[in-house]
Amino acid sequence: MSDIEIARNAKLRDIRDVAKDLGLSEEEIETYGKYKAKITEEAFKRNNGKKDGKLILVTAINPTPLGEGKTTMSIGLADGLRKIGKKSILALREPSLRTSIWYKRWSSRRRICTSSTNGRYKLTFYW
Amino acid sequence: MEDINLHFTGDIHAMTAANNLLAALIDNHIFFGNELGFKRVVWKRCLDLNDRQLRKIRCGLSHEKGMVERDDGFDITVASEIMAILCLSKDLEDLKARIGRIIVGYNEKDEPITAKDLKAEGSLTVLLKDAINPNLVQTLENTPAIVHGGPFANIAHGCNSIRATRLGLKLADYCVTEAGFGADLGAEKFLDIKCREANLKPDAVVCVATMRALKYHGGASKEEVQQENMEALEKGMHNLLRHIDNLKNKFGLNVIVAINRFLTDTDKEIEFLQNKLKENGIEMSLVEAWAKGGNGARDLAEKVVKLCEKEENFKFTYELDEEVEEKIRKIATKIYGAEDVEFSEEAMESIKQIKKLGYGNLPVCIAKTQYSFSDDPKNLECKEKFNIHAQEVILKSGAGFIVVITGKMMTMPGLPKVPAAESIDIDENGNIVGIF
Repeated sequence: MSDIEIARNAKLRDIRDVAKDLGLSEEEIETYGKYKAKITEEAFKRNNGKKDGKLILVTAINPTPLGEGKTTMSIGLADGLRKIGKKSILALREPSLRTSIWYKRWSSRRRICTSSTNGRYKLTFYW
Repeated sequence: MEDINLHFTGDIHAMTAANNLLAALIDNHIFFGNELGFKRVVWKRCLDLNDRQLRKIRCGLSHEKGMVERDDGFDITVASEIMAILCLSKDLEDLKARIGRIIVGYNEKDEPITAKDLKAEGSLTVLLKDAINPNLVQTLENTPAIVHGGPFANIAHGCNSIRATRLGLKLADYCVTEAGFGADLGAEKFLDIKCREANLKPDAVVCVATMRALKYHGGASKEEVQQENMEALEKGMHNLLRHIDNLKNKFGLNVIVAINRFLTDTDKEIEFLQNKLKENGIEMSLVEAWAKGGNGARDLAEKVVKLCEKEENFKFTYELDEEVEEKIRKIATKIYGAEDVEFSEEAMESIKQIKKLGYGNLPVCIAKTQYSFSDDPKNLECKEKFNIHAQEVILKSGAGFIVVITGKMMTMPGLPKVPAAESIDIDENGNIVGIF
């Protein structure tokens, strides 16, 4: 399977359910279609006094022009933490339109990997 | 699903609109008599597309009465100070205050004129009222992901928003975040700028390494890095070891190396790296998440959970009350391993003015090549002693940091000869191709 096939075959959950599992009420999110939501100020206010979870920073050695997979690693680690039964969440940067039209930074690197190695890329986001 | 790479929830468009509203208010003010006395405008327009034609433009050419012709230029939206501000703001009030502090130009006496002087902070904040709220999505394995904000990692601090990270820490037991480029730029700014601003401290740091990057730093060319090359691998280890030393000993954090496994990596190479790290007392995990998803990162996850329980001894590279030059010098010598910093006359002049304006206590954000510890992108091995060259110093009073330019920084890139746009298409059923 190619990257896009893997992504299109993934089974997505309704974002309201994902939010609910995080303890967010319906008033605390604004959905943008079925799979995206914004988290509102109410969520900040209600969770203000709550104890913080653990913060994990993913960084890298100096990269080659292709990048070394920080985002891949971050996603893999968060998914891996779930696999071992831990409640994890990702906090990542937002890609911009210009990178898609330019050279598709968020996916091309992994496509380059796929085509040169025949590997399967299973981690791509599904929005 | 391609949404994320297109308009997503519109945050970046909102930032473009806010940035350009401010630009329009400046020129409008000048058109109606220039009461504030703009002599020099430093606020540029922006666009979320790579369009090199717009790097430098001449505008106001319509020859109408009152129209002032001047030089201008565009940056890409992620390079706009608005993006940095949004990512460092705690809430709407903070966002508004920071927008008010943006310096948009200077008058005859070289005194700064701010967005607040133009009464612009309210309307810009209105345009950003939804953009300031983090976006929730999920990974292919249904792990929740907050995706929010993405400033440049050279002329800005390169991390997702403070609001997203803080909220992530409240909503889950483990919040995984990242910082742009290598640890010399990304992690340093994450720690010295973002963590300081948001009062955060990482419980564990994962430093990603690949065989190809190690070999690249050991002198192998881009074309050669896919072949086994023990000599280049051994030579390239210095780069990884220096980053680990910085994270462990300079910042006092708990660190693990994660090897992002590629199918071209040989067993011999992996064994060598594992032994080398063991010799140096560095924890590591071989990760195959790329091929196997979360299952390929179980070992890393187990080790990270343990690492998070260890005490850390986190400290910043510099304190805010130190002199601006000293803060820059500390990053250069402690983190990059430079001998010293050479300041251009222009840089010294700007630092003097920044201090005069009362902004000398801000953190510094160094814009440097991501390929080398030095400011020379070709100096991969950094064998010889080197200096960092502070060529230009720019105050970002809204974002709240001082940018130090050490080389040519591109804030409006161009498209390549064959842009991805040529292969992007949509069929009669609305299926998009070529964007993934």
